[in-house]
Amino acid sequence: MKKYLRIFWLFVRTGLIKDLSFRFSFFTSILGSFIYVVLHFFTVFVLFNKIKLPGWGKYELLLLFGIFLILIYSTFFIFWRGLIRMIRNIRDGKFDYYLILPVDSQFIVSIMGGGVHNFIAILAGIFCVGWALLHLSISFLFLKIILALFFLILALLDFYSFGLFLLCLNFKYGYLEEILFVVFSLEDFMQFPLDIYKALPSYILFFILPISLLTSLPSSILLNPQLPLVTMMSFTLISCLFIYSIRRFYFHSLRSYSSGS
Amino acid sequence: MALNFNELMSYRLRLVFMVISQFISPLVMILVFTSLNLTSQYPTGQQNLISYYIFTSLIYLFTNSNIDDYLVLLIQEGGLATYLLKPMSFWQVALTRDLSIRIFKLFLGLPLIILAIFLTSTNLTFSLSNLPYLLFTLIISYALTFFFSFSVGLLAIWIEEIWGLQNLKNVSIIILSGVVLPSQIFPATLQNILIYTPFPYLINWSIRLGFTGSITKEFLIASIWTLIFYLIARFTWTKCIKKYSAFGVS
Repeated sequence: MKKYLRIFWLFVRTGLIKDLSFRFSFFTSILGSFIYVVLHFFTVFVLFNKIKLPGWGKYELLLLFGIFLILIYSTFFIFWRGLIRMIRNIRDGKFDYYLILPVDSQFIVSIMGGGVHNFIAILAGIFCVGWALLHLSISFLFLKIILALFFLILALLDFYSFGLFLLCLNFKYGYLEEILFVVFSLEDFMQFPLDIYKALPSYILFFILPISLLTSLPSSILLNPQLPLVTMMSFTLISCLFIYSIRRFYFHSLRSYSSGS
Repeated sequence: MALNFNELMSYRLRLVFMVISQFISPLVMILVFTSLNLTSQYPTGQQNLISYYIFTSLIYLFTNSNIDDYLVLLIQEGGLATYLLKPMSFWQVALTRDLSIRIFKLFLGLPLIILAIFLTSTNLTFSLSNLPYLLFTLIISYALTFFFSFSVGLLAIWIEEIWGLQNLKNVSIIILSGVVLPSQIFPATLQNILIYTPFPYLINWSIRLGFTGSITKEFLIASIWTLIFYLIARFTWTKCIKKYSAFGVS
């Protein structure tokens, strides 16, 4: 574990050095992240300024928005560079280089450190959550924060695993770079409260529910007076099974990888 | 163009994901508006909003030029040099490449759009007399986004990591041209300012023609912006050629 944390830190450090070597690019990348935060903020708050959703006031929405930012930008920070390089390495035949390294190959291909700009967006998310919590009277706050954090980490691993699952198609079908954009487009489902989808037919809800729960569960833990125990337990169980199955699927998909190098 | 079609066809599954990825955001908004009871809260009605997203998604596939991605790749990997040596205009190469991708995406997206129209029972009312307007607005919108993207892509000559600026371009287009939210939802002051900017004419102008109350005024503003963007692209290209350097064989 210690070895893996050290490798991760090394990636983050080298990423930071690289980012800071090109000052203007560093500035534009911060601008790029900032503009995405603005896009999501704009979508949620302009919409809910016009349309009122019962039970979702300004601070409840801000809390959900903060959790959404933390989840999405943590995924970008930890996994984006690794996953995007994974696709290119499979295509270029450089993937075998990672397979012969004396570390877990899933770890090394997924984690290559993230940009500082993503970390700044995570801080913006933490600020939104903190600001909302200050204005909402919540009992047993400390316990709820710990629980929400646990489910946020689980959601992060779920989201990453889903991305990895689709990315494994690259082993069999060649170059599918856009698959990662499909995964990250799904984030749009997470920026709205789960209640907004409740009127939809159950066959549509069946697909939206797992995605929306990634942000809705941590926020409902913080917002609801009573903990949603059944949802929490089933989410934990299903997530663990899902993450494990995707790991097995990744190693299974490696059999389809062929390199020309 | 045929070469571009062949290149696109070599990764067919990739094309499917390329199209799907562009439908997810509008799909989310359609589902949100379907789920909400808007009749009392939104003046133009739920059905209008849904058809707005369906047709915006379709037009977005055609009008939203991503030539900047191709230019960035060529500049960063040194491939631009090979085109500069060939006895043809690089502008033509870029235009045919981008146009073939747009047409291809449009055809791939059509079944999804037809399915969406069928599932949401959207009314299709189209008069043949509107066809010239439709074609003309589509051409202007495409030209605007093409010149805009072309200028942004060329900045890769000066800037190592260009994706931040590309994000800025993409996000400002999808917010201000009404891809994410219809502009009727925006505050009135912003709506009035936007009329004089290029944004309402970039993507879905064809389905909003007459939104200012005067078609002549819209055509005038859109034509002026197209000319401005063309001159910017031309100027950036001239500067880029002087600055560009590449070595080795690509």
